[in-house]
Amino acid sequence: MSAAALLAKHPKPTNTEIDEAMSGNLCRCGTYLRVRQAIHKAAGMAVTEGAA
Amino acid sequence: MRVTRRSFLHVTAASGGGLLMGAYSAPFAAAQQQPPPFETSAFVRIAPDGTITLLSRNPEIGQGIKTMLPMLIAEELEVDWKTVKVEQADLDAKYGLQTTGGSRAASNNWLPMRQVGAATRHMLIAAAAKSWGVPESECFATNGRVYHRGTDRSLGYGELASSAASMPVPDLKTLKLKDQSDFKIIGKATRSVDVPDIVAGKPIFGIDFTMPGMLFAGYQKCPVFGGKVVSANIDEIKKLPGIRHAFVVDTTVKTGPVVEGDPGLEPGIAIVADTWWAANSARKKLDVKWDEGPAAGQSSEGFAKRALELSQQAPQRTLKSDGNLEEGFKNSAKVLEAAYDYPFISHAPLEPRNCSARFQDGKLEIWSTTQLPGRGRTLVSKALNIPESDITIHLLRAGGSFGRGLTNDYMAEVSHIAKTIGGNVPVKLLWTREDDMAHDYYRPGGFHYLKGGIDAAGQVVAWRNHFVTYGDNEHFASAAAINPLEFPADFVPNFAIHVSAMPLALKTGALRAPAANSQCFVMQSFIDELAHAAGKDPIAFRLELLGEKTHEKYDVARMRGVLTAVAERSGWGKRTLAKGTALGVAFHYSFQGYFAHVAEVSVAANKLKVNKIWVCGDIGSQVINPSGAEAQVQGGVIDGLSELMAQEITLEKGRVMQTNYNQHKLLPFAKAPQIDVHFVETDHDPTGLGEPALPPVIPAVTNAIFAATGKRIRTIPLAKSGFSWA
Repeated sequence: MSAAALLAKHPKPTNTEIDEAMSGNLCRCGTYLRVRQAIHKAAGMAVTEGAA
Repeated sequence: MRVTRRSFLHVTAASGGGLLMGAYSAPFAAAQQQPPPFETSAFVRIAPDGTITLLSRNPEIGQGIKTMLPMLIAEELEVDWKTVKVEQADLDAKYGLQTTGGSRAASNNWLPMRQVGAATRHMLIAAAAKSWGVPESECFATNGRVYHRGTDRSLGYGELASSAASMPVPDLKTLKLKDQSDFKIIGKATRSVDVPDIVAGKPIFGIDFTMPGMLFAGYQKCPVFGGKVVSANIDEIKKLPGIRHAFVVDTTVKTGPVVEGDPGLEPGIAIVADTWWAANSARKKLDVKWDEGPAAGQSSEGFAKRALELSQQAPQRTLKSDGNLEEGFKNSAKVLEAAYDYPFISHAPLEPRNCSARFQDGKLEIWSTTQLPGRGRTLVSKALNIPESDITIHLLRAGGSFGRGLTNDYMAEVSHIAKTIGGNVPVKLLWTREDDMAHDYYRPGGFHYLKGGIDAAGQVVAWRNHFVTYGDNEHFASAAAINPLEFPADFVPNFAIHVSAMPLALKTGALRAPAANSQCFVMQSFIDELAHAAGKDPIAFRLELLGEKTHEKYDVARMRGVLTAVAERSGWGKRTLAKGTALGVAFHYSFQGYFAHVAEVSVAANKLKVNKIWVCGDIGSQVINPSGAEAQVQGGVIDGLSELMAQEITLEKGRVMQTNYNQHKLLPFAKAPQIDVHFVETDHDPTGLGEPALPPVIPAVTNAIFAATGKRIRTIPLAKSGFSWA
């Protein structure tokens, strides 16, 4: 949900913007790195699907 | 498929080899040695339309076992993974061993779950062959269908399911299993089966559980372990809005010198209300006079002082003694002495402990996130005097556990409350974060007083550890032991481990990689000190120390393998790094896995940045789910970094002083380094990943800090020495 809110405001966030937006989220399953990758991937998808 | 015939097959434990799990309490270890038999048919349900439902028997705590175990079954069953549904099994003898801990699931299930899949496939083939009147050898199964070679006849598993159920279950020992090269599911990165539900916010965690007519309980315990209620304003509490019951629980727990591994129900006050909010608001209005008991005299300061005193006296006992220490030190060119210590820490799972129960017609039904449901049932049976056969336990997904679920105090609490209020009313007990952190089974702190000697050639010739821990002169507090074979035992000719113990009135227990999570820091740091004293490269020194001799319980070749691999992958010795940036290395064997880590850090003043961690692990011939495996390793690394920087549980006047994440911190998102995970595959049966990737993280980073700054870290967390994340 934090990531969704970020992408609504910053469709192509930098790593720093991602880190700031996600600073309130704790994860111990080890997926911090994957969350970052997923946000980049979702940002990529949003750009290509924007016209549809 | 409906089962008409059952076969009880005794499956012997895969011999894991390697070091003893000395830190675990005896019943857990014993359960792993003689796993109870299981019924193959319990794990697979095939509907007439061909839908496959596989049962996952182990508690799921975020480690991914609910995906991994069914992958093993599905592979041999020969079905398309996309058609598989997975269900969590409840506690039931038909499933055999149902425990989560010790990173044991991979080695406990690698063979049995594949046998389940293969046996079921054989029965389906037998049913098809029978219906066609052809030999089984002319039939084969793939992708959910059985085919007859040569005639193009085929039948789907759905059509065969009910006739397959009446086929004899084949002898598991004679089943031929697939070659690794034929795997279609095992070895493929597979998304966790719960992800769709989690993303959609479905209520699948213990904390989400709810039932019609459910009441909500809060349980107030004395801030000092073992403290009992003298008086309390129960009558006032009962009058508060939404409160249905309030009562004192007057039980007694042993407060030392060694606390039991799982003392069960502790004294306190139960408040049961229409809502969780009402119950916990009422707790704030409690006015309780406690008899705090003997634990009130304890403090972290007191323990540190006592440890120092004990270190200066003759040790209470000797755990291991090889060669002649005096001679060894006499013949040393250099002798180093160092004192290391680490604190108590809390499990701090993101989901606070919770459990639900209903006492109905003399029987108890429980919904829990426990890691050891069998032991929980035994504990509750004894506490409430109900036969185990009258207790049902449903397993719910835990939002993290890390060993907290190995004990069942929360289950004892809610069961007692459910039985006391009666009326067949379901009750949910959900601890606050503060309850969870203040009443944990802590990873015990410890003090190591080390002395090491290196000869003129820079070889380690003498090593003595006076380990000051918690317990009495015969027993260790739970998870406070040291394994007498802990590396570098048997690698140094003159070697001794001495032990002195202090009484402790506090619950302690296994926390992700028990003993290893703290002791690897000590051993690999002191080895690093000896390497630098010998003027040798830290990896070259470690390879020399390992040598090439065979050791009964330590596979040197496997450790050399990961150490060599991580040196290469990190560019050890090959890269020029900026001032203030350096590499550090550490390795450890624990929970059947061989792991070596290199950390690259940059330090400026006391600001620490961990740029990257390279992890090389050897867990055998097959990584079962590469996606889950990577998550487990990265998660272990992140936990290690959290512990290193800012986790510490301190005691004052017997009270735990930390109650939330602002005081016992997790690594923040932005500080997570790049983590490179690489598996070195060797010809051994697969072993687990819950724990072995964690221990080397801490010394890899502290050794890197030394290389970058010349500052040797001998106490953690780093925040105590003024460090913070850059």
